[in-house]
Amino acid sequence: MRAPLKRYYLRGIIPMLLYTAMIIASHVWAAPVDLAWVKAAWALSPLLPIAWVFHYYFKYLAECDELERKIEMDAIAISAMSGALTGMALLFLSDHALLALNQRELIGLSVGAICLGYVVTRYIGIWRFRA
Amino acid sequence: MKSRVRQLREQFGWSQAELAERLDVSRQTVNAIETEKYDPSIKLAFKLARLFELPIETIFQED
Repeated sequence: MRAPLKRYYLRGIIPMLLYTAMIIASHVWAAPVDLAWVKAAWALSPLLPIAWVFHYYFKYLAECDELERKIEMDAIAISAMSGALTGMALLFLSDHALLALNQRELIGLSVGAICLGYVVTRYIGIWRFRA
Repeated sequence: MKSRVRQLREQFGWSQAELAERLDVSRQTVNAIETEKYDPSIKLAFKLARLFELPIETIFQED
């Protein structure tokens, strides 16, 4: 494993632990104050460590060599497209009353498709250009 | 694109890892260029040309 990737994984440990703790906390405990904006901030708080990981990801992209960056960019593009296609497919099926999904399920499946698309495409890229 | 990188690297007696270190890229990138799975950027092609002390067009040729 090259140093930039190793550094990215190591840097990501603390934010991911924090994310796990915050997601559990935001689901187990109610917001400390009964105000709409406090509730929204409480609900969105797990996004902060994710944004922190994304910050490290951008740093990693800057430290990559050109082939590594190409693999990452291909994975990002294809995962965004697979998320958009999944979301649109589910919306069209719902419009035609062929599928009954609530908003949570719809968004969850689209985000899942983005994550799965990224992981699969990235590993295909690594396999394709393996040394 | 046809690449003579493997042949030149072997002439210089370098391993893929050594060439990768000199170019500041991964071994995966050197291997992909040698096996013609990946065409390097102009910047990397110039780096290779400087390293092998040859013009770019003698290292890379169009198919």
